[in-house]
Amino acid sequence: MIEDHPRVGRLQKDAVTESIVLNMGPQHPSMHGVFHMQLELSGETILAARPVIGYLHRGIEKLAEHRTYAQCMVLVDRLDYISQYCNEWAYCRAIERLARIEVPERAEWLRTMYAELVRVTSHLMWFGSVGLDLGGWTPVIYAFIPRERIFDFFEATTGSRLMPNYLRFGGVKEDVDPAEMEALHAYLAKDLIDALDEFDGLVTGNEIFLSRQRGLAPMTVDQAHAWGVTGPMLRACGSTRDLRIDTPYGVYDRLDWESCTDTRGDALARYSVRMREMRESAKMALQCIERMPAGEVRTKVARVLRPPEGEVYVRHESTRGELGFHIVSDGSPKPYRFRVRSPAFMNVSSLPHLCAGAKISEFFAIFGGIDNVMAEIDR
Amino acid sequence: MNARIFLTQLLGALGLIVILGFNVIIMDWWERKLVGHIHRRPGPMHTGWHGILQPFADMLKMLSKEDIVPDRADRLFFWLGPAVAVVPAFMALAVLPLAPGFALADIGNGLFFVFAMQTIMPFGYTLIGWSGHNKWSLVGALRSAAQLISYEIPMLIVALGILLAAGSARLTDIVNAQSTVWYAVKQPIGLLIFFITAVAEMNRSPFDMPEAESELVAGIHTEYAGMKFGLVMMAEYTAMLVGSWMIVLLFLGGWHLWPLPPSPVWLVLKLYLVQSGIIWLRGTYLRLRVDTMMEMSWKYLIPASLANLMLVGVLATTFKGF
Amino acid sequence: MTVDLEAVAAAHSGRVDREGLDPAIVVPRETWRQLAQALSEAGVWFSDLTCVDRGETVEVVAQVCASASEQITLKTVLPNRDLTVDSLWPVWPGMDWLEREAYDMFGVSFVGHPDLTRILMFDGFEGYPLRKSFLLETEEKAS
Repeated sequence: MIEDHPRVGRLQKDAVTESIVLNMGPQHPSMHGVFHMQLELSGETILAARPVIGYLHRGIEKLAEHRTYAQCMVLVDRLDYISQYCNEWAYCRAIERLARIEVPERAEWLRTMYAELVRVTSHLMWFGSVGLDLGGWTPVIYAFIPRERIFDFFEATTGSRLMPNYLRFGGVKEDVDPAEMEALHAYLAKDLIDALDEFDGLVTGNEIFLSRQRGLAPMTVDQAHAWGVTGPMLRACGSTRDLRIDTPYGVYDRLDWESCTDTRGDALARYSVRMREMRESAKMALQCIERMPAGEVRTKVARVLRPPEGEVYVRHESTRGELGFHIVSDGSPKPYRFRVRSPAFMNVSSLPHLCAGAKISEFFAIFGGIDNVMAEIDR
Repeated sequence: MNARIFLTQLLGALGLIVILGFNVIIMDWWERKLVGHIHRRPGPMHTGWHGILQPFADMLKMLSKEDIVPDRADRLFFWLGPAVAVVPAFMALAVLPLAPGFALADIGNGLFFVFAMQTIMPFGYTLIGWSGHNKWSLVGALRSAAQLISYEIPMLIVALGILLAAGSARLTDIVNAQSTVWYAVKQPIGLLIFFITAVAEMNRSPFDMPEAESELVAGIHTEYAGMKFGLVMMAEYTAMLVGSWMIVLLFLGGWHLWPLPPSPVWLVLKLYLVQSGIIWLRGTYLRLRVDTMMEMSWKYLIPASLANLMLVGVLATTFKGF
Repeated sequence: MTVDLEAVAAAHSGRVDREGLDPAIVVPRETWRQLAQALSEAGVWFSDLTCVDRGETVEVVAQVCASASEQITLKTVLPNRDLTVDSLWPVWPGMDWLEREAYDMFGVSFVGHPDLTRILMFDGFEGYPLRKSFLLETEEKAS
């Protein structure tokens, strides 16, 4: 045996190889927000990973207990600031179910349109950061062009690009300017699709990109269910769970669309699901603009809302997955308990499983595929 | 050596350093503008005409910055690293001709001299990465060492093909052998491999693993600031110049642009075209993964370069004047 | 209903509460994990876990889905003096972070959790922020 050789034996006894612990983040040029990852490395290989979160914890759940229901809307905007309208809508649905408020027809169409538009902008942001994570500056700058165009539309109605505070219990704040909607329709029908085609040409077919994403961090449906992973990440493993279909809300059941799924379960599948979702969402927003009926956009609701005593849990398909609002009311104007089930929180908790055994350079490719927003994780 | 020759050489060397500084300034500006336009944005616009003074502003900023040496850094090697990286790049330039016989030293084995100098650069990068006492730069340094060493091999084998065809290691002779037909036409596979390996040797995207700002913060030069960072940057731009110059000399006919008469203007033109191409790559491609990059060299480029060498050998013995 | 709530509740010495908007199964804490185990074997997956501070007691509330559109609330009530309950981590590994958060915010100890440490607040933080007894600075001044 070679180990018995005196010299080799001594070498093996004396030589100590240590793994190094690398603190990735919270300050790192390509961390998405203030996320901290402790990586135990052997060379470039990740042996173990431990996410450390909480750097952006603002205590929104506690703050909400000290504000009236309507005031909480502003906090809700600041949860997932990349898909604001999805948050607001989920919160409104929870309160409307609790207080039994009816929503006018046109408001439902408007909400659906906004939610799908914001899904496009959120995925555009994700697309840009995927490029950035893999070392290319160009995708992020290209992706921001259509994103800004859609933000212009948001700004025209709500006065804000990122923090709209637009939805109200029982409707939306104001109707949209028809001219703006017309212009947006023209943009979505042609320019946005052209831009998406261009992104596909730039990145999707790129051999370097494919070689870095194919087969990376595979996940099965069972694993995804066990870890609580939802949204595009879950649909990329072959599951068809999509709350827009399973628990129809808004006008999704009246639109002509399909939920995007993939069966491969790897990073490329997650990419492909989101890229196709952008096209589907644009299609839905177009249909909303075309078929939207005229009418009221808001029902009269008491200025200080006092929902009856009780509790409600509403699940909503946000951009990142299943967004849950668990509201407990004690009959007062302020929520007794305000709980947010954040999709990114659950998705990120699967990260240690996904990146064990990967290389450092793969870490960001995996992390980018999760598409997290730290404001929503830390709340 | 008499005093006059010594003086001319000294002046030439000083002139070369000035030209190099000028090249870094031009490339700094040109890279920003070109990548900017690839990104559909104008790039720097406010300092001078289309931001032409931006590199000077950058230089001023770098010079006026505090020169930070981390507490636990190895001070000697922290100083030495950038020098070890930048000096060989300068020295390689001494043998690169601009026109027939017009080089600081048009030595008989210039080809090997350039490669010998390029081989020293990884030491500089490794020192830079290691001395800063930073885990990010350490990973970057190891990557850099592995990358530069493994890409040197196919590069040298391809250069051997050129040597075989030209029958001389003097760079002027190699260029003059291409007065009508370039080696790019005669050895297209060689050009392809040489271009890929040259880009990898320059640490440029898509092979910018040692820096990899999205993974390793700033890679090898994470701890560098001020003018020492400026030196590292200068080493990188100079390496880019040397690499592109070699591509132009070995494959793109140097100062020849048949049927037009040979002129150094063609060489400079080609030089900046090649460098622009390398910048274009950065604007288009994503970064390779470390292990696929190593695989690419050992599994594909080395066998391909050997096959290229054999092909060239067969052709050179079969056809006269290949 | 794909799951017979009454039968499941009865099997775990609990009851079904149908007064709210969604049906809820309320069980004593001794059978908390068995209930989850039984549901998990019936193909139920989890969505959320959190707590509600009711003053004298703390409710641990889990939201699970029996099918894509069918939602059940699971509840167990813990007395304030002894906030311990079995961890659901062995049943659903994804409960890891949710239980850490509940521990962080309410001080509920989940027995059998592999790594019960603070998650959103920093280590060494005193108190449990989402308990009603945890006052904000403005409240402290007022009182």
